Amino acid sequence: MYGWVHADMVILQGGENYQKSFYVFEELAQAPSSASATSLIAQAVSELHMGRLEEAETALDQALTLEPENSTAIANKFVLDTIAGKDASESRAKLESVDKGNEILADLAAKREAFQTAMAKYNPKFEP
Amino acid sequence: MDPFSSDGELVNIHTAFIQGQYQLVLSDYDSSDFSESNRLAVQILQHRAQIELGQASEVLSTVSASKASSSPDLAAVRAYATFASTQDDASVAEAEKLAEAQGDNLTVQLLCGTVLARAGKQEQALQLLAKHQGSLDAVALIVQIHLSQNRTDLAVKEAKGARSFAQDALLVNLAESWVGIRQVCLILGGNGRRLVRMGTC
Repeated sequence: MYGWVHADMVILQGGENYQKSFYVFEELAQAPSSASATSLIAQAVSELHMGRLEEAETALDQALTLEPENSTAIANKFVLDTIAGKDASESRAKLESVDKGNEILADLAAKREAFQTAMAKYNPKFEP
Repeated sequence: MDPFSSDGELVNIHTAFIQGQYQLVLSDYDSSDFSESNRLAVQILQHRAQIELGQASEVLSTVSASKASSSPDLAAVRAYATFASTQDDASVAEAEKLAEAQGDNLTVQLLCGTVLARAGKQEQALQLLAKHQGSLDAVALIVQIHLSQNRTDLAVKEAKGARSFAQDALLVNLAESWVGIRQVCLILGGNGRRLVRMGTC
């Protein structure tokens, strides 16, 4: 019971902050006089945090229309595709072609290596 | 004193820059339309916009090594453009050298601070940026560096401090919003750390 109450508080607190940030980014991103790929990406990331995947995708697509090679937009598209359970190989390949040293790719490579190292300690045994 | 404060001539181009409207910074402004004392600041914003748009090599050909040796501002632009196009150690060494010799120059603080932070020398970057005199750009960069180190607590403090002297400035709203996206991530275990990256960093 106690654990549940605590988890609720955490979610509420985060929700309020996300929402406030979202309004700032959205206002910039959606006004024609101030719109930019940077603000659209920030809006999309806020929406990702709030679980609004379709809206996040719309904003990211707008960012990519303005700047098709924007590596931050592509990296977040890769994240979005993964969260949404879609095939993320296309966005990943695009990120690799535009920004090979991108933080998220380096991070994935490091995690993969750590997993392989951990796996090497075990011998697979199959029950007949 | 912040050269980009709201009563100055630079406010529109600076606002366009921090909103990430890099194309607009290049197409709508001409440094010769500004008063003599602001021309360098306009040129620097335009060079930074070019670098953000992936045109670092154009900046390197405009700001030659000899031009860079005449002004610490342009030297910082050149170091930043070199780092953006090559990520090599020589540009980081150059940024360190400038930070040492010209640490009171705001352009050196912002651009060399960015290079140092991106090269993994966040503490050095923070030391350099601590020398700023009421610059919101510097505050915004400090907030970004704290966030990149997962020190949301320090980022909150920095943004709050800026709110007290800059009230409703756009950069303060942005800095608070970057922090807001991260505040619960920390509690839940740091997911989404890499997701937000804004123009100034």
